Amino acid sequence: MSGNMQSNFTSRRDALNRICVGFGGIALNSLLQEYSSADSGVNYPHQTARAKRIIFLFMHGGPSHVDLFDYKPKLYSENGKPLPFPERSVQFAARGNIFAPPWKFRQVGQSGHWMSEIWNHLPEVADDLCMIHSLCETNVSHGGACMKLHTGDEALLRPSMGSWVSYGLGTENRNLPAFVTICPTSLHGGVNNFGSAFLPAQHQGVPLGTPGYPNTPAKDAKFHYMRHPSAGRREQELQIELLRNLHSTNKFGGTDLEARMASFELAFRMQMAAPEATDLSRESKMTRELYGMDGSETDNFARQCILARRLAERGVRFIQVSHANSLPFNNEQWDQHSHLEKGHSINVKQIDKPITGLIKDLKARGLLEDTLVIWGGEFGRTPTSQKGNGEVGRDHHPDGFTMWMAGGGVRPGIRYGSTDEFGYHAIEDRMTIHDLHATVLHILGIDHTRLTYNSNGREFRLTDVHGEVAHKILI
Amino acid sequence: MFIAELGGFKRIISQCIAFLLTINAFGEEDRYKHWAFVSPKFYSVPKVKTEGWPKNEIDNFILAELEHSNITPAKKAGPAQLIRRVYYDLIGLPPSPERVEEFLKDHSSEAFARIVNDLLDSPQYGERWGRHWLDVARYGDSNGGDENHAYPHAWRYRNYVIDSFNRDLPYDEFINEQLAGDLLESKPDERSRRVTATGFLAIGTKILAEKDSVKKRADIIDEQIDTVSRSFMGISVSCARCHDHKFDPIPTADYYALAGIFHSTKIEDQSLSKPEDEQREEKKKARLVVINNQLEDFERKFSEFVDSESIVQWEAEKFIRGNVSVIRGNNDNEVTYISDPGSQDNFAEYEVKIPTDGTYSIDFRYAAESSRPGSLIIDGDKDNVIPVLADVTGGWSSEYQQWNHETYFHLDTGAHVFRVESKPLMSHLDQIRLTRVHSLDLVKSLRLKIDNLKKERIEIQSDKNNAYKVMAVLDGDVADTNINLRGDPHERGELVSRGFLSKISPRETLSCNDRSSGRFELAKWMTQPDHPLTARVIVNRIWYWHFGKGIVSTIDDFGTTGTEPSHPELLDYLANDFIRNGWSIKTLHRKIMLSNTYQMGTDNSNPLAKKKDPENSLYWHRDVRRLEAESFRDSVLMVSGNLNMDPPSAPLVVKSQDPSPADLLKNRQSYENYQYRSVYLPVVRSHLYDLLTLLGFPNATTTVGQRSQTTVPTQALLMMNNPFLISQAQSLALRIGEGKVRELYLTLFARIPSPEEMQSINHFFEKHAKISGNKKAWESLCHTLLISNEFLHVW
Repeated sequence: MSGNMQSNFTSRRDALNRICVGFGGIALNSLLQEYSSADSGVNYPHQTARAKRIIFLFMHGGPSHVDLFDYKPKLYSENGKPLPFPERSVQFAARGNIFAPPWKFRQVGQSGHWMSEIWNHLPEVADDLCMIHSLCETNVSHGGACMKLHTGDEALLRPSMGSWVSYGLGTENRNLPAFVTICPTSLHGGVNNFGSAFLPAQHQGVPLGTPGYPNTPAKDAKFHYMRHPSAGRREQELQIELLRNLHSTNKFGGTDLEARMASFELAFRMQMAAPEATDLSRESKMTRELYGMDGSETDNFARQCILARRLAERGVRFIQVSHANSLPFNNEQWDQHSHLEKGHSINVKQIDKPITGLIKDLKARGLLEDTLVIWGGEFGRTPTSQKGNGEVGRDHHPDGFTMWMAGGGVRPGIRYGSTDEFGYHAIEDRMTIHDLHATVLHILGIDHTRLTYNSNGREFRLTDVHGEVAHKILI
Repeated sequence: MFIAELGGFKRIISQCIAFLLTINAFGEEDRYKHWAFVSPKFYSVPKVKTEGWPKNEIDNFILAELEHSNITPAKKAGPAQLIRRVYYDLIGLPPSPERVEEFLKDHSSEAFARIVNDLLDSPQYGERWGRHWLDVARYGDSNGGDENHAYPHAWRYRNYVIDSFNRDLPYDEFINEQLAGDLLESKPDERSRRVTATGFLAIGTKILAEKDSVKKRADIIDEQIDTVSRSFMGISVSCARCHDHKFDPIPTADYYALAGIFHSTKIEDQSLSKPEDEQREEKKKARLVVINNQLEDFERKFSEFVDSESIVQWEAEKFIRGNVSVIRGNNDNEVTYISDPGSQDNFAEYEVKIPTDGTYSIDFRYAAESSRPGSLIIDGDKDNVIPVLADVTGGWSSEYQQWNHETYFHLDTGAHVFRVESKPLMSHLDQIRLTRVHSLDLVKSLRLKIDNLKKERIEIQSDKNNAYKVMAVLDGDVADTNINLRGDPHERGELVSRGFLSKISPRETLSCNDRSSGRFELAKWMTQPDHPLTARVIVNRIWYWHFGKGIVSTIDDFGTTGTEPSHPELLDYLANDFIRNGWSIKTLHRKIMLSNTYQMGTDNSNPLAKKKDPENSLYWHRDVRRLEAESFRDSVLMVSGNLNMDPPSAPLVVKSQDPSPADLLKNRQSYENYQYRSVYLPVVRSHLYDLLTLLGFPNATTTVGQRSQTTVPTQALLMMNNPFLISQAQSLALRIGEGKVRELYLTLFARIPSPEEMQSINHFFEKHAKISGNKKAWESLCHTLLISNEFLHVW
């Protein structure tokens, strides 16, 4: 069985590497149709897909599960006391005693999800959310944890989740990249977190905006090289025509040269499609208001979320939205080692309305059915306070933390897994990042054990040799 | 055997197993017999029917196979194609139109060989072929991974590689130097370059923020083992970190035998001096010895004037009140000291009991590279603040800790409060000492002498003008290491003696000793003439760089999961011949390039051959090859008249760690304005110049013998819209002069345009000029030809 898979991969890779073979002289429209069918997956999906695409809302820095979603009454009653068990041996910083969340918790919606009072808008879509309270990992540093979350490995450079998805499923729209990352950060793995490593280059994430520190504001985020600095459309058409004429007089070329000619024609089409896809001026006033695109503190993330929806509508497979180094933070957004109350208040304020708007909007347009939305960071935060100066904060905490999903065939309104009574260790239905990846691929119709790529004589997977699909969260 | 292991699937750490069912199960014996794991054999040159065709042995091997399949080789390439091919191949740049014309006129039989030799002798050769090796050596100027700190001295290794290719350093020595340059017996003028060579082991990707120091070290060593095994031997040993290799005969014990060698080695920047400065450095060293001896004498004398009974001395970190940070030493060579915890008003207070009243010399022991003056307040007397901590000692680290005399002060018997303040930063304060002195005048004059000597010592130590640093390795604590169970560095298994691969090995077995890490022995083992892999792997690499495909197509994988050689006898012949010629890479170039096999044309229209061998694995014609990223950029600069052929005197520095958008913009401008060859551009891992990465430049994380070649629309977008290319096209347009299509063709393609092409060009020009005028149309034509297939490929 695997022997067959192997030979199929080879032919598929050949197909991908020669995406444009042999279409010389054919009209562009038919050309594009050929691409879509040729790239819709020779071997995949392995099984019925519940979602066609992903929107990953990445919360950089480590949002505090115990302050946001994972309600632990013990933290209030034991406030100021030491934890009754020893903390993990490898720590990022020294820890103090149990620290009660500065906010009260309440149950929201029919589902009865716990959310702290910090959330004003998210309760409106609570019943669409599937809460996963049992994420667990080991690395306490941002870099290692971010790379694990994005690529499945904390140290070696491996293809990112989006690249694997692009490799496995291809794209639904040949005029746009299959994997787009909106306003990515350059910190903690940086471009490695959307890189394709050894997978063919077309599977790497294409950034909207320059990955920097701080990163590009959403209103300035653009794809690169989409426009000639001076020449117009007609001049570029002439250039491409000349390229083709000269190419046709060359003897003894080969398929690679032909492919290169076709790629120019494609690029020309992308130049038309991309600006339209990212043009927010086409959004109605109602939509802008829904997301909070109004110049206030929600504006930046609202723009990112609207961009995500526009790309999802146009068939982009994997869209990452990063809440990272935006004002007033000039570093890891959610990383409140101190000033937890102030910092998390600002963070939630920035994303609460835009995310709620995104889910409502996707639902209204019928997109939520086949779009999987994932919310989460590289780890959570300690139930204990961090020792140090100034206002109280919490340290990095990989041993148990929360993410949530919505749409894409995931059971809405349920809670999966749990942590102990202090929110420290994930104890029930533990979900590692490998398990998360296996589950996400499964939802897309891909068996994570069979999505492999041979590099330097070794077969690689996103999930290495691990990964259990969390079947309980699926409809 | 393999089926049985499927049950334990989950427990097995590496992914190699996923490949399990795809290959035939090898018996143990079969695995040792794998062709690449036995020494190259000696084959005689095969006979061929077309006796006139072969120019050298390579042709015999190639033609014999072609004749066997009844395929006729393509005709020899035309001279214009040949000269462009050989220029790009050896120096990565196009020939000038003058050189082309000269060659076309020269009909002597030696003309081609002369060009090959000229190019091999030019300094541009090392810049081209050194860069090939840098792919293999995963050369980078930053740590990559989770963070991206600059490696400010890595470029010395890069220059070492370029230089080594230019001087045709025998490949076995090249290996010796990179693995063990510091351990080789060297003349003074050789030592610097050999220590620089060990940068090979130091420049890998590292996860610097890893909190688990044991794992961090194990990961760094794993990276070294991976690079050494892939680059020199074309096999992956890393699988064996967690379990016995599934396909190749590499038991876990072998991995930890190698790991022991690297555990006994440490990565550390080394200070070197240029050979011409050796003498000066020797003098400085001699003077330092004199100074240190004198200081010792004076200190001894000094002790005669002090009351040894009443010395009060304490560690700076033993304060009773204070807000300073205590920085603890990690080992015996590091002291524990206090300093500021970031900018603030720092203080530390001490309660001191004075046994006998009198005049005390107050001395502080601290390290400071730059002056961070502070004050001493005794018993809260703010009117008599004593300035302290203001001296510099040459550096911040423990080796620069030294006693500095601060003042003389009269102290009464009893308790006193000493308050040390420093704002905003503080020198690294280790200890404080109070010494009661008798003859104050004598003490003072002696003190002056001591101070002057110390001052001179600092001047000598900080005179680094002629010294420079390199990334390098040296032996550390020599010891064998334990197997890490399932690859977990905290789970220790059996102790393994340092050594090499036990099943893939030359006949002569070497062993490590207790005196050194074993890197020297590793290099010796690797360069044994009958080592099954070393010569084959490099010969195949060089063949690949000439032809665009290897005799073994999996360049970095000679193991059982790699491919069989297309011409096994040729590969072994070349490997043995290479060793016979003193491991000379330039000799191998000549042999390959002077063969008819190399000089064939690209005519692939032979229908019979096409049917029998569509992939051209028998070499019946020359493959059209795409320029590498650097060749493309360098060529664009060259034809536009903007390339500076000299090597730069200092490296280009760009911001690598946490760059802001403004930094990135500045980096881009630096790249775009840089006029030196691409090999000198910094390789900031994960933030490489996109012009290069989009065209296949590797990300320098692992050995890359074969760059990926893709054709994606993002490349086309770059070609069409990149401002750098557009501005270079404008330079080119200006340099050639409007309308001179013939000159433009000669410059770009080493030929003149055909009438058909002239027709297309005229059509383009007329239409374009109507929209934007003649000047723009001409610039646009230049731009179009720069991004055309013909400019980007070599025939």
